Amino acid sequence: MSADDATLVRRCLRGEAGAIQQLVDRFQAEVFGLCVRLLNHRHDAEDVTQEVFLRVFRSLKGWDPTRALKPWIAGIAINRCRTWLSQRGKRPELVDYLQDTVPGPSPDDSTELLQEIQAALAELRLEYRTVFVLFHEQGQPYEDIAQALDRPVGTIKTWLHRARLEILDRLKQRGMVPAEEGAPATKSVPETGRT
Amino acid sequence: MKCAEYQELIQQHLDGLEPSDPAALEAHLRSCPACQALHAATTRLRAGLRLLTPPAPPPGMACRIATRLQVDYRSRLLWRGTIRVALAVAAAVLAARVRLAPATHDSPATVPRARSQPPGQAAGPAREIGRRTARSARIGCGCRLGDGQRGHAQPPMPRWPRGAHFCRLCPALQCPP
Repeated sequence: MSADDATLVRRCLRGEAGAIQQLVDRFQAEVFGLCVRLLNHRHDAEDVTQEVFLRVFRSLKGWDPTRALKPWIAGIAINRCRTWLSQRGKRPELVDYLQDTVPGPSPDDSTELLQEIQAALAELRLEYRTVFVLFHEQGQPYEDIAQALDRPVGTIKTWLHRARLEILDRLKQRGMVPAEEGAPATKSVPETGRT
Repeated sequence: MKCAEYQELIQQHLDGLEPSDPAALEAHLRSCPACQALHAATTRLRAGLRLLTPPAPPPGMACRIATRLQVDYRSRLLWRGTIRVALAVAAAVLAARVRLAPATHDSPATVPRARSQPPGQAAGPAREIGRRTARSARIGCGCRLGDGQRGHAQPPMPRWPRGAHFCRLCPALQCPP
């Protein structure tokens, strides 16, 4: 927990306009990003993001100041997305960016690779997708993800492992992995940039 | 080590960790096509993940949300205020009624239990009348009755003189003038 969070929450509870704006500014990117990935729909994500903040704001009194604010908000966002999906009553639609998938290989296949990853992500189970997005896209540590999903860290690691395997399988099936001639040198593996 | 363990090592790349024994892993990859394929796919995925950027929120969304939150805060404040006023009014009305209640006939202090009940009469209705009576008036026997309430039992008891009847609120026998 950070003192910043506690101060911000206190000010929000007093109804300070600046604090409310700060709360939204600080977390809107994460909440919206998560909603887009989980719902696969930008407009729905906008609506749900608004609902999430409303719910967060109304529940601020119940926030435990000994815990971090970010995973708590992420937990609310995940629950709202889950509810939204169950109310939508249909399987998640394919994301907007899939509609303009390049059919053939391009000289630089990075765009295609990205689209394949996003498509694979959209097909994952909700829990796997959530964990994958929180870890790889938002860079949240295992402990925070576990707190947001209210699951043990071991479960989160297992879900992430399975999510990766499914995505890797898809990449292989879609021919996004170069033919395996010779052994790749482990030293030549590029750095992830994650710490 | 078995393939499963090497595959764990390969996945560690995605956690941003380097394998503990890279030489052993490299040697295994040379001899195992399955692990080699997984390693190649992992390398591609890592490259792709660097390209994966979180979706940017639409412009103006933060302002819209913040405005809505402020409106919600104000409306909740207003609602809370209304509830408080309503509760205060209700409490005041209740207090007024309680204060007026002892002035009526049915107060436990003014109606001793030892007094005998008139035949065919119960204490219940009298008390009830007393409770219902806020604005009361004196009648012949000295009892207080509310506006529009009939103070005496109907019909009169047959054993007593014609027209004589008991007050509902006290054992006093009322005789016609």
